[in-house]
Amino acid sequence: MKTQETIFDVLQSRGVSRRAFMKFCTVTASTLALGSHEASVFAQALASAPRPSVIWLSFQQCTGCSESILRSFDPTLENLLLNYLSLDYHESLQAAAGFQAEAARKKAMADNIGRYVLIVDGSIPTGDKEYWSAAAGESNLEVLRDAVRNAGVVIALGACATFGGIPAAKPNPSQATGVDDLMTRGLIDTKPLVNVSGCPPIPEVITGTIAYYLANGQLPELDALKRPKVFYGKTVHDNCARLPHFNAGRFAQSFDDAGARQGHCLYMLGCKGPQTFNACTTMKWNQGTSYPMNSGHGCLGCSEPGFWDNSLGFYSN
Amino acid sequence: MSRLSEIPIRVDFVPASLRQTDGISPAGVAILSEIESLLEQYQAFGRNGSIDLRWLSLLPGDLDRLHDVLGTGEVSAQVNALGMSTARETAIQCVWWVEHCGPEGESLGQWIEVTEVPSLLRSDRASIAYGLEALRDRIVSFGGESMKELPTVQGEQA
Ligand code: SF4
Repeated sequence: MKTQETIFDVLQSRGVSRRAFMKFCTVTASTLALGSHEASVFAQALASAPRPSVIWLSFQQCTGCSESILRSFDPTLENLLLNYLSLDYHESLQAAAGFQAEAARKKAMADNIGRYVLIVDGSIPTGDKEYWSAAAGESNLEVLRDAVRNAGVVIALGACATFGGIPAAKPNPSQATGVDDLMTRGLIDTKPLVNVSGCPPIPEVITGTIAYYLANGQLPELDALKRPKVFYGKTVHDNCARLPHFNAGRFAQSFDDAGARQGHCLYMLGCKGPQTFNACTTMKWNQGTSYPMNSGHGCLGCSEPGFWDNSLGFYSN
Repeated sequence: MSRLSEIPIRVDFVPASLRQTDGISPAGVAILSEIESLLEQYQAFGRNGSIDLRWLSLLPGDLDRLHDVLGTGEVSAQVNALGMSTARETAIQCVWWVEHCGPEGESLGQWIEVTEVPSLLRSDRASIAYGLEALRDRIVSFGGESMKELPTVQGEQA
């Protein structure tokens, strides 16, 4: 009897070697802060997990979240899972268009009832503005409602899908909101939801969350805002290279003053690091190169609710 | 007995240098004792282990000092899979230093592995079906006769 196709079967058949897969598992387990024994259990579980069906819906967004993880032409560890497992539906990436594309989405959903992973980026217009964003005659809200109904898990990706983001900034002309709010208001079914916030989220955080779910069949431990604690458990301030200057009261007063050049804290220049929970300072960006405060700019607080509206502006505190 | 090398000496399992903590931060000392206990476990029960160096609060120079203490063994191997990885045997038997890098050469992390051979270096017997398929294709593309019908990847998994 032909057993169900596993993640490792799919990767191998597409030319990903066992060593490359092991490397992915080792680095991802490290990202998830798993111990050595847990890491090997994680690798075995991920290898033998059934190939998931992944449906990615994009609403009011800038494509930055997709870019963040799928940007590279070369296979990287971050995009290995999504690039090689193939997404059953992704409006920006799929070759199919029109009715053919819609049919592919509906088929993937029907074939995987209760099991598919639904990734959402972008915020959703509501109320009498519901049809401000629509495709193939269906509003974003209708498409999302239909897809959430039989999803195994919903992953809201980025500031817009989690908390509304830029489209929801005042005056919020499209009455846009995020997935969690729609569940709370009963506008869509309530399903297991994880918020991977950030504008965009860090690629390794996206991959780590998905890999954890695939290996364990459940979501990692979440904080009060439904974000994985392993990535959002600390503020970026907690691990900032400028923290010793903050503690010593040494603050840059302008972006190019002597203090800024000596690495003084950017709090007086609007840094939102102390109230922003994210992994930028530990995981870093651009393949571990740097993060905003390390490159001379304060944190904008993009992974927190109300990003854009909830502060005095990017350059004041 | 005419030569010094013929004197039957047994090197202490954990060399004295490991206990010399001069110049090593407390985190470095902790890593060395962790290696010591992983080695004891591996020796007694065959249970391999690893230490992820990525998240440890090390001081600048700690990794270099650890390298110095552990020394260099006979084997150094490179694996090119989604970027380069290296596995270097240290001078301590069964202690390996593994580093994974991304496609652009950026370091993704370093691990100390306590094992006979890091699993990264092993070929995978379970993948032979894919190897056979590739071998047959290559034989045909180099002008050879197609080989006797061997089970396909699909067939072997069925
Ligand atoms: S620059 Fe920002 S994150 Fe860094 S120490 Fe100062 S306030 Fe905290």
